[in-house]
Amino acid sequence: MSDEVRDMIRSALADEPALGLEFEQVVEDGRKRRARRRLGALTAAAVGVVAVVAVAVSGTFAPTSAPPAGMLSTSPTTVTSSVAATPGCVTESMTGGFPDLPRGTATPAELAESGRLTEAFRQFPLPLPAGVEATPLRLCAIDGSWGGDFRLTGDRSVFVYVRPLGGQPPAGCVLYTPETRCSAKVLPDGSTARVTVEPGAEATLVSADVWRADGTYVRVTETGGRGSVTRVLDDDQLTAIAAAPQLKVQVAGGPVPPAPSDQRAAQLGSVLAAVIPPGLKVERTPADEALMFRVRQGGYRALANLTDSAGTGWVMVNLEKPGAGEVDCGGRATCRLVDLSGGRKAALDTVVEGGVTRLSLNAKAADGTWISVQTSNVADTGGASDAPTRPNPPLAEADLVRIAELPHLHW
Amino acid sequence: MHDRDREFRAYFEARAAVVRRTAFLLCGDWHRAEDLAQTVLAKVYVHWGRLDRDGRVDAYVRKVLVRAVIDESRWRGRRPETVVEAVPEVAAASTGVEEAMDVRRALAALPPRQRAAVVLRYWEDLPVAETAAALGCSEGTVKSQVAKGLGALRRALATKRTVLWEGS
Repeated sequence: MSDEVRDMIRSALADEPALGLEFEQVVEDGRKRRARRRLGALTAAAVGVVAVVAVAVSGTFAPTSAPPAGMLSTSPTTVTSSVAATPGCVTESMTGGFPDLPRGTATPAELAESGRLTEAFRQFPLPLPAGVEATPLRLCAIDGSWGGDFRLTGDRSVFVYVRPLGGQPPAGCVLYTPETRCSAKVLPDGSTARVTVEPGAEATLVSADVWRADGTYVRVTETGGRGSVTRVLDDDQLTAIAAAPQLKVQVAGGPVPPAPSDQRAAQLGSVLAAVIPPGLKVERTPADEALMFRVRQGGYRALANLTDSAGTGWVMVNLEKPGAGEVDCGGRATCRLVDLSGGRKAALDTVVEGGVTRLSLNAKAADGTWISVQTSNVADTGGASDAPTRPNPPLAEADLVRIAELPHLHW
Repeated sequence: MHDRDREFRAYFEARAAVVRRTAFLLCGDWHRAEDLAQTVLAKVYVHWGRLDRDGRVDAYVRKVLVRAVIDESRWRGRRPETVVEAVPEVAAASTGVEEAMDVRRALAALPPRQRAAVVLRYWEDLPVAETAAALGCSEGTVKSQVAKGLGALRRALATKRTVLWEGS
């Protein structure tokens, strides 16, 4: 069948015009993108990247003339602000440059924290070299995190990103190029700081990551436009910003789920085996161990073919990290909500098409883990075939419910 | 010319037309496909060193293409932007272009993710796992999307191609 489909698709290309793409044009476009990326993408229009929810901030940074003791090469920045309470702001959803993808929305708590962090950071004496000034920084809500940027005199920009520390341990260095320089150290208060310098041919990118003892993670990145290779802030200055006590996140929120790990996958182990009905033989698919969880696509997944005298079918169980949202059917006519233990709900979907029957269940565990269980009467053979390999899926709705109710099936 | 540019040129010359074809199958418009291909290839240039070193260039291209087309369709109201006309009832001795139009309409009538799943599985000939990676979904979802997509194509083209998928 696949050859026929391919031929059919090929026929859609019958009137293909001559290729108008030019190598030089693409490379030029790519170079511009690289430059913009080096600049952080956000700096091109710092005003445009954040959707200010309320009125603009009227406070400004104004460097003073006298540097503090011990910072002879820099002059501190003090704050003169007439704003008593700074309104929060939200980073637009398509904005890049931060470790998180901006949600484009914010809870009232996130908005309030945005305003509080922005206001608090004004009190921080920025360690700037003499003669260098900085534009104001607004820390806007991203997704349980906050970020923004400020420009330095010249063409360099600094991006600041903060979030609750959660379960993330300090990571090792990630060396994207052989020229990358990376160093890590423990600060006097027990925080761990890592500085990464990517020289690059077109712009120097420097990041200071600090996993702080106060429970906040901060990344401060300095970069510039094309050809901007001269740093303004040195390692210590970037680290000092990242360690600023004013950047401590105070919003009450849930902990950040830890990244999926092989260790947790092993703990989940063969928890599913207990709920497979007797008489069904669990067999591995071409891609996976039989019903053993593995880390896949940012979550945990277990797959298997299930065989009995009626033939072989397929089952997959996915766990995605705990998150917001409610279980629903999304208006699908093939779906209905069923009750699980503990007052939880599950959305059960049954789709029959061309002899293929697919059952799926979506639910949330007590800790918010998204659980997805799917079964069909098509065995996973690694190929493209969707031909039924047994009359019905090997698992019934009740089996899917039993899986979703397993007490240990969570992140 | 820098090594980076030389290596990228080799890739560009080998794959630019292929990238544009896939883009066209995903979006249904040659001009838009060329713009998409240009954008994607420029992005490839930006990340060339890492992508080339990791051998992930094609996977990256597919992912960016699919994301761009799906995102665009979302912005336009969560439905594909074209196809409103029904497939003509009869086409005696259809020419290649007429046939192309039929298939194009049928493809464009699919929701974006279904269309992408079908194109990646059957045109790019990707395994389910790689299709899932490009679409950012589970392999089960890919199977489901492909099945639904093929079913819809089959129905849309039934009057045109009685032989297609006969018995499948």
